[in-house]
Amino acid sequence: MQLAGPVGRAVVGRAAAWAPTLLGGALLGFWDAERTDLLTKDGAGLVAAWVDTVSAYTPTQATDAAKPIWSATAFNGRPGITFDGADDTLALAPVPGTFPVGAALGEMWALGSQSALAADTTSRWAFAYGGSGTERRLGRAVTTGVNRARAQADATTATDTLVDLSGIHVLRGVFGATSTSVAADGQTATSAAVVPATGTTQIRIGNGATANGRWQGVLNALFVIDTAHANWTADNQARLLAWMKVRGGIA
Amino acid sequence: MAFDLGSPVSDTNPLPVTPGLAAGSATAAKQDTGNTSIASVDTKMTTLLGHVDGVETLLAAATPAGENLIGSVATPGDVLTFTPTLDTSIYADGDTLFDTTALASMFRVNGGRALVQSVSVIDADDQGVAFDLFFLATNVAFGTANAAPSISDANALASNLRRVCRIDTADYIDVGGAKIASKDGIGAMIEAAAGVTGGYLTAVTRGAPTYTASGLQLRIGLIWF
Repeated sequence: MQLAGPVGRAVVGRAAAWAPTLLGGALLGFWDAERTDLLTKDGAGLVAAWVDTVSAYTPTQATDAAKPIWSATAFNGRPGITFDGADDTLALAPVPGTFPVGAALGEMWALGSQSALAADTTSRWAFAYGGSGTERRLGRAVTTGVNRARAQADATTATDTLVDLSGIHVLRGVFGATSTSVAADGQTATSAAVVPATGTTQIRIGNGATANGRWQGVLNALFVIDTAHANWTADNQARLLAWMKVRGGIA
Repeated sequence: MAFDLGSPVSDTNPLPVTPGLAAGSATAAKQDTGNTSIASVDTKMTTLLGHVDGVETLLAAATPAGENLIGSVATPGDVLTFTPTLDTSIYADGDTLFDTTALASMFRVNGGRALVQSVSVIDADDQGVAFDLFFLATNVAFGTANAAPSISDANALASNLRRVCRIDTADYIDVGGAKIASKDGIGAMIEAAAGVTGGYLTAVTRGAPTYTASGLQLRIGLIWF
């Protein structure tokens, strides 16, 4: 007599929590402010280097005044790195070879707290990579007096219209072959038509890759995703969003 | 006719003087009767009915010391509005949100006690960042806004420094261009310094917000003792 095995994925005991690392090959870059073992900082929390968990890509800052500050409780009671909006930034050159450039498909995600006031109309970037005029950016802009999420490919911007980007939010920039879109907190995305020509000059955290417009607030996690990878399923996209919302305490 | 004590003296409610005034021409006997009547009136106004003496006593006596109350009891608490002056540059986690700031009439009586029952926050700058709110009985420096707290040990002890509550990130709800937070049932007992009814507040940010100078408004709900 033969007995059939159970159908589905039976779990005995406690299942492991989902984590971004389960994205496997779809995860090209992941900077995590809660991984203190991957941060180089002094006793005051000034961050000199932030190491990526995937391939150890390491944006750095040598000037103390331009170093962002890590704190164990800056982000919803969790660790976060505060960028002052004036000169704080971390940079790495050139762009890692695994990142999507040119018109290759890719996504950038950021989990952070945006504290610039709506009266401050400077566009401020959490994360960017590329070259002069040929970069992918993810950050914040003000339209009609309200903070909004914005993604930019080269000179073309897509600006969210649904979420007031004050406080803690998830930002998602999708860079496609013919369009770029942006969404906040998993809401419906706003798109703009563009064929990106992303360059390879550098990565910048807390700033545009080649322009001013520095992030004012806290960053907890940053991601670069290979959209074309088989692991980038709808389920995993939803899980990543949920994971980020839990971290940020976003309803 | 029986005299009605609850009504004023009038033609229909005459003071019952005994004996009554005698009729006819004045005589020594009638004058004696009149004097007796006047004495009767005096007695009724003072000793027997006590109206005049009672009022006199109340008027003449000093206001009683202590917590005696006449009539409706005073409201046993209040909700005070407090708008601290904030720094307008981005803060760092753990910085002083605002230095020691006076809040008048936190207590009902000099040196009194109060229970902080609730704290509500209107964050007009839409930051939604956590902070710790502290009470001080005396005016001592806590720290410079947007810098780490620097209160001395001696001042912390002398001021009865006490954390009233923490407003958490999760306490905020978004109401469009602002965020509001409420903390109820706090139950923090605080005490005024001798001779005053005011107190002092300060706070420490638990995030990295950016505010306008008056971007936060607090409403402190107090129960008085």
